[in-house]
Amino acid sequence: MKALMRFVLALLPLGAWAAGIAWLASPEAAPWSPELRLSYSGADFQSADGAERREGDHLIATGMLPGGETVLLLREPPRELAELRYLSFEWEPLPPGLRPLLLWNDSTGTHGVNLPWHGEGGTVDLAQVPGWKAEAHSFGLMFIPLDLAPPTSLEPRRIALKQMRFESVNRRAALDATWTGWTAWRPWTGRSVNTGGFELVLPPKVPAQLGWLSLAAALAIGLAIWRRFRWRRMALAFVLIGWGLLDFAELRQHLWRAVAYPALAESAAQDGRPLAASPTLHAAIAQLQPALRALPAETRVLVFGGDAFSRQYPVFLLREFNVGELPGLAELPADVTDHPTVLVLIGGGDWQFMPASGRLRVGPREWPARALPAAAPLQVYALGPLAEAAR
Amino acid sequence: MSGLLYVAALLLPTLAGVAVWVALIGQPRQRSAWLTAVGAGHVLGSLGWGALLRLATPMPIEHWFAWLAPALFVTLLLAAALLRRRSALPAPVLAQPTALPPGQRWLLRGLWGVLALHTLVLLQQAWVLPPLMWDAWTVWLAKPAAWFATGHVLPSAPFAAWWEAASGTVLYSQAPAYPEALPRLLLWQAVALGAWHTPALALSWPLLWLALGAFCYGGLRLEGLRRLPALLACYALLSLPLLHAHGVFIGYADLWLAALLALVLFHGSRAFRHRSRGDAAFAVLALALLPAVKLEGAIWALCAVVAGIAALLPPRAQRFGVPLLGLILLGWAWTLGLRLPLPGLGVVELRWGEIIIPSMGTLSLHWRPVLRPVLESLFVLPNWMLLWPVLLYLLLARRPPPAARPWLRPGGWLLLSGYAFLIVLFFFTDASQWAESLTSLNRVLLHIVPATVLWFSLREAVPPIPSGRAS
Repeated sequence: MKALMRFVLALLPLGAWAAGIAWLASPEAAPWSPELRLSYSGADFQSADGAERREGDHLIATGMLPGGETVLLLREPPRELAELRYLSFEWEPLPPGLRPLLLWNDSTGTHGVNLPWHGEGGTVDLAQVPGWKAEAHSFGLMFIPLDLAPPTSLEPRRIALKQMRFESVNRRAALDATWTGWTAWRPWTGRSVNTGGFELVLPPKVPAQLGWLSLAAALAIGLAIWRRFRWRRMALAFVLIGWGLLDFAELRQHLWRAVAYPALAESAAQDGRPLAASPTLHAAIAQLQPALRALPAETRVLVFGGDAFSRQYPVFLLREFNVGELPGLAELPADVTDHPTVLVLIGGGDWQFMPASGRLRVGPREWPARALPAAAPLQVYALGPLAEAAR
Repeated sequence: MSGLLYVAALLLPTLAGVAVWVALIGQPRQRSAWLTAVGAGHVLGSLGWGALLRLATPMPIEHWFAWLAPALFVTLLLAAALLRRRSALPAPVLAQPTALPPGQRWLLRGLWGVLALHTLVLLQQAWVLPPLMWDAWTVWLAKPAAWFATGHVLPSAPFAAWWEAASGTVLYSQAPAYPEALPRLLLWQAVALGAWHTPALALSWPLLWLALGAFCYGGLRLEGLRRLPALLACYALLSLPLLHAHGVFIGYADLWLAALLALVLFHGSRAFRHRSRGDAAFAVLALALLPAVKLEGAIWALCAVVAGIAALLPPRAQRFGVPLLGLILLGWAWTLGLRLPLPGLGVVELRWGEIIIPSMGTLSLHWRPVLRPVLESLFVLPNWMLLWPVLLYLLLARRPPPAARPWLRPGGWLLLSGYAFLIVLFFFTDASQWAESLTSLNRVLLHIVPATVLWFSLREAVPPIPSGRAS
């Protein structure tokens, strides 16, 4: 009997933890259930590219826009959103390799924000969405491939939207939003090498670390009551359980990636490409390489423009050539046209090619040049003897 | 492409490292000693071979594997024949073996299971993920990729020198002064493979993660820790999210440097504990390789040398002499300036308020308010699990057992000087911006974390050596 009582007592810290999280996660004086709710079924949405069908209340989208994104818009967006703080969404598990964004249009323009999601949907606190104003003219969801995949991969795709609902302040949605934030999938980014992973755009009100650790504390206290631990053993139990829970949360992310990324790599391979840090740049460079291989071996390739990322990645991908990154226009060598040189310009900048005269102006300087076939965001010009040879 | 030759390219340097371990330290007999030898041998052998390949620069790279692999293989056979007579390593000083309670048995099995899961996930991710930005693109992956593509180990130069040089004789690099042991090792593997196959080359990183784990668990068992604390320390280290991230991303040298520094601390501590010259020699070899991996390696090597010298002083001199020496050096730097030649960095000049590093310019020293992002990164973000709170607790609330004190001092000095360097770097120089943006802070901290975990594990759980056991 005493053992049973101790066991029941041991469960109390767990209850206190749940109550504490509910209190911390919720706005003050919020009811458990919402007073206002606006529900939409999948059938209330339409796909921007028109490739859709309805199965009961669900919308099944199978197409994508040329950039690789599937956009689902509400046919009649809500007019009054001021009172509606939480947004919940539900879909069938997404094809691995896609991630969702919240999309809306208001007086300041079009906005797209990463949505934290897991499994079959999630809940977000709109008050924490950067730039959110409760005056959306249009409203919807956008699904795009993860950063490492070519935009056109994952075709055909099937996105089954079940429902979406707006709710006024309530504790249940606040808890759902916290849980979504704790368990949301985190794709890899280059930033992961500096931190243990990618930080979510929408952090939950109660941070995940604090949540898992407070759960570990509750379990350790419960264990201490049940097994009559002294405080030192309880502290050890807290560290072990806390470490285990944090590792569980991390491993969950890794297992999701273990499913998502190979599937994505397979889709990308069918597209004839590997996963890449920037699929667009990778494709543009892959297209450029045969033209560069046809040039004399002593050709130097100068990469200029864009930001550090968009310069260094092409330099890395073009390592088989005699390639260098031009630090700035001021460093452009005076004798650039004395050697066979190819200038790879990224994005827009202070340069212009004049096809009629066959001349390229870069900053204050101008030379005869020959345009090489290149895809956006690259513009590629052969200078010096290479341009002369073409004449 | 030849997978078999690639496996040989991975194994041969590891076996060479194991041979060095056995030659210097002793013939492993127990599982723990083998794990230590293989873990340490992989790190030292791979990086040592990468550094030695500098001598092969004039050789056409297509002949590297064909000529050097048989030579290395024959050397290893000779070494194996000679080392058969090497005396066996004394059995570890283990606490009296007792049957584990069922709860601990299940905990052990669970931890092995979780580590196996981590390993599978790492291998798969390393195979699938592409090289991600910065260091990989600009230094450690860029150079071997270019060497392999051009067929020559070309020297590197910054933009102006590259442009001036005859075409095809010099490689452009953002960081031409960076050491090349790791790029040469990757080139060696690519030559054996016969192609530049990024996923295959990326496997070196999860293998390094595994080697570090084997070294940590085996080493702690070798020093007498019971299975559970040794495995807990190993699990704590390998499950750190940042360490996990670096077990995946090809082209980053931070985990290599961290593993090497862990070797220095562990074998340095063993040298003092067991009065073992072999361990001391192994630690010196690992120390000598630090600057060959990354520029920061020169700083860590300096910290280790300072720690070793300090630990050789009598206890009273350590207590009073070392702080006094520190104050004198500080005063010297303040008034006259202090010039230190550091491999890879050149002659570094310390003055009051500034540090002059030839390759980096003048670093102005004054306080930067970055405490909040640093604390967030250590204690709140998912980078380090519970590592820092636990270490703080162990440091402040628990005194080490008397048996552990004297021989742990060199490691303690190493960590103390290392963390002092990090505090100066991130709170007093422009590197504070990397702390604020959460970029290099964690990566530089990663260098010292495995050594820290090993030192605290030894401090907390090592049993005393019975008298007359010192080798």
